[in-house]
Amino acid sequence: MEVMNLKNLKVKFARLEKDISQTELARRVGVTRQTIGMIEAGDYNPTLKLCIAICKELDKTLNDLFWEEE
Amino acid sequence: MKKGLDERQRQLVDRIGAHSFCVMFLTGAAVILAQLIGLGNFQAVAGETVVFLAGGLVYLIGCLKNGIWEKSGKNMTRGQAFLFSVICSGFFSVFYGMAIARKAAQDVNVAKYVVAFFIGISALCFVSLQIMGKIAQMRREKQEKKYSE
Repeated sequence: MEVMNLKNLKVKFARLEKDISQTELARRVGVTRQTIGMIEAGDYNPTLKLCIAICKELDKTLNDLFWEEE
Repeated sequence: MKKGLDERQRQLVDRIGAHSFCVMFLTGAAVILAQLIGLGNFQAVAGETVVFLAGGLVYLIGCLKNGIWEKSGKNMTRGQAFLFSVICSGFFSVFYGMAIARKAAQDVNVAKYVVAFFIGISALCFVSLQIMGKIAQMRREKQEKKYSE
């Protein structure tokens, strides 16, 4: 599936903007660091609940981080 | 640090569990058939049969309760159910024939028993498929009503 293999660089950049490591973000949203890594690499599609949790931690909206541009 | 498994790991474990069940189920079926043909003794496969039936029933009931029957989401047509029943019954009739031929006396005509088995199992399979399809459909309709706008 093409969508699943697209890297989520928006999440990565938003995380780096906030100067948060993958480990720290994972701790705050309640998942493992590998899961955050896989989301950023495009290898895992998080549930809506997890997407919202990540957005809250990074002060972004769902559109900012998870909307696919054409 | 999160304690326990996160959502991705839980999904992964669920997928692993499903694959493992599939392997156990198919292996169980193969072992039961092989032992029946080899030994022709139903008591010898009683234990495996109980385990096989338990797992199969739990899976079947779980799917039916949630209105899941066909991968396509629709019920089998009568023609498809008939064809499926005949093919499955034919497959198992071969094994049945092999199992009883080993135990039968020389002058016994096992063919009539195999034909009776084939017809009986075909009918049972067809009726079961129709009933289960109907149950799944009723459950789907109930869910549709529950979550309607």
